[in-house]
Amino acid sequence: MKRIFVLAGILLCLTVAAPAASEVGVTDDTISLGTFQDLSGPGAYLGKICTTALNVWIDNINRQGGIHGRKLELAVEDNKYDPELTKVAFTKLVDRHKVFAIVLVYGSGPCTAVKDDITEKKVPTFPTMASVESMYDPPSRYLFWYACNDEDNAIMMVDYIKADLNLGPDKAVIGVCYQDDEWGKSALEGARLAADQYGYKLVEAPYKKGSKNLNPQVMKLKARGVTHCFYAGYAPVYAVLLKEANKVGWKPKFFGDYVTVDPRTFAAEDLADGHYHFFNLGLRNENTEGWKELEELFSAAGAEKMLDVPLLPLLWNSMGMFETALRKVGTDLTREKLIDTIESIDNFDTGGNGYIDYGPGMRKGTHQYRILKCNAEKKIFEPVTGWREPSLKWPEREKLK
Amino acid sequence: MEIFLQLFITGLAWGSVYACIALGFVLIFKATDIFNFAQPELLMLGAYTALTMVAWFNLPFFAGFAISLIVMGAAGAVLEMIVVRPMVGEPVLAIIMVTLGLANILRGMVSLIWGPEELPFPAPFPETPVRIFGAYCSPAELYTIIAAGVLITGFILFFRYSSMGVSMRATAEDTQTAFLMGINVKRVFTASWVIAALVATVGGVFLASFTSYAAPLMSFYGLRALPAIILGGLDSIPGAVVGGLIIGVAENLAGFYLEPYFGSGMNEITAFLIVLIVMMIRPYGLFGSRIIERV
Repeated sequence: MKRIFVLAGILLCLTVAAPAASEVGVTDDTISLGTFQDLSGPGAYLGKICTTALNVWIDNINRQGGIHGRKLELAVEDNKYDPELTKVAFTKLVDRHKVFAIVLVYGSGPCTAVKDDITEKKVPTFPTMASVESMYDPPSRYLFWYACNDEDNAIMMVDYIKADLNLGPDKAVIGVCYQDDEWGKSALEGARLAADQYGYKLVEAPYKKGSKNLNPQVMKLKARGVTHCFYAGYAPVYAVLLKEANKVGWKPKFFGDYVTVDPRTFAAEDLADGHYHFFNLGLRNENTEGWKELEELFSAAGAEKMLDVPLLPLLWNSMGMFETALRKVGTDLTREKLIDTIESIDNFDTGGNGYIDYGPGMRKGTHQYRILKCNAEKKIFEPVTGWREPSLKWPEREKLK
Repeated sequence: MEIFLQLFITGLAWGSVYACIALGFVLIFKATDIFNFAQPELLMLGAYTALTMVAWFNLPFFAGFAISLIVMGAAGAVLEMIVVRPMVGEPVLAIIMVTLGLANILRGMVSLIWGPEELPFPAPFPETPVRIFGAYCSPAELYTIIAAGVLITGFILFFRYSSMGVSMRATAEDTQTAFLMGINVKRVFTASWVIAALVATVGGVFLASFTSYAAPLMSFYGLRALPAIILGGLDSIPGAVVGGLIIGVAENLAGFYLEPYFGSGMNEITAFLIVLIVMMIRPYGLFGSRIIERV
């Protein structure tokens, strides 16, 4: 009997003493985070940007004493942008490094490969920037998405033509030139939904990833009389599209997706001028509070080159929200409490660098965008609208598909 | 008709780039009987070298281009002497593996030196299009077509009338007999690699000018030249050029006329479909030498 009381006492002590260190990846002194990045594959450029941003973010927090006295630690695994290697990287992060959460990941193929594992192992993943809707539809409790959505943007293009430019279906023909994959098809779907809604004619011109000859696509769009063309793909190919259109004397208004808000668009020089772009982030030339902070921190870290990346606030907004959630949870940090806290944060302050918002059952963090215009002479993008949402909102628009 | 002409002219320009790549393959094969799988990487390296001369050392474009030709010619010679020459007499498969290895090394080296991302290429050509037979052509495309024309004429004359050209043909025909006839076989091997590197540089610079960027992925365009070589015939210089032009034009026409029925990958498949059909009729290519073995 005495032995049973002793055992019960020990168990009670363990139970009482345990909370501070009961969650995976959390000790009295540290919070262990993990990420898988392409450090040596085809997207190594992006991998280096994300890793640098994460290190600047972590150093900044740790310099201020960490989160409730706990310093942040980061484990980085190289996935070479390969889905199979991403599964290996995920397993290593979860089983070997025993991370509390996975932060700042991207890539449609890699993230899709571990989506079920994330749900099964209940590892908060904040955020994924993969450009596929399956990241938030259907929503997984543990997976948060924050990027730009081409379906939203293509709908917004048609909204803009109809409401702002006042061009009805008799005066405008919509075109979509897109990379023939999930990313591009998302743009096509958005344009199709909105064009059907308003009665516009739609012409599609897909191209294979890696192609730099867009002559057949341009000729098709020109021959069908396209006046306004959405483009979904990388900025260097967008520059090729502008040059090809100029060559054959086709002069539509282009609407580039968020990836074209990139210095590489200016390779087309003055041909890029006056065309539209969609973006969910603040711009450096707007000198927002958020950008001022980025300039201060990245300059101090010797990473000034990163400030030329217009998508930098995409990384920073999400990590800022993650930090806020970690602080709000308090000392008793658990994965479930973290997720509940992220869901409860409203109007997160990004310092004028855009919006990020989640809720119960809502894992799509981006809802609002602005339309920008390219100023090729100054080599900047300037907003021509305020923050707005597409007329057909997700998830309601799913019923129309 | 206007659409067809436009597609045709642009296809010719892309075909000219394929022809330049194919020409490099054929030159080495014709002279040494070696199929150099690193030829696309020489094209990429040529573009990056020109980029370095113009953008990093701030040289005027044509001076930078000329220096990059010299650098690449030297690189071709060094590669032949260090990598390929020790393999002479070894089994064909071993030589293929060596050129494949060389391709990987060159690709890795480019990423290491210049980084994995695309770099803006300072092309000197104006953007104002030129009108030809009712179709538009960018100056870069026009110069590429002219350059391909000059190269084919030059190499046909070179192989037919110059002593080095004749030596190269003789070496490819039978290395041992050529050697016994007093031909400096080593010099022939080196010369073929130098010329192939020069042609690759020309192709690389024009390709980068078309696309505005130099990128490690440029080397994959080399694979698009393979159907051109097979179509034209592995050992035929006119074949390489004609094959390149046919593939370029066919890809562009298929991208427009067949895409609505077969999807966006149709232009890439077209090249291989043409090769398949031609192979069934003329297994040695349109212009390739017909080898008859009597037993």
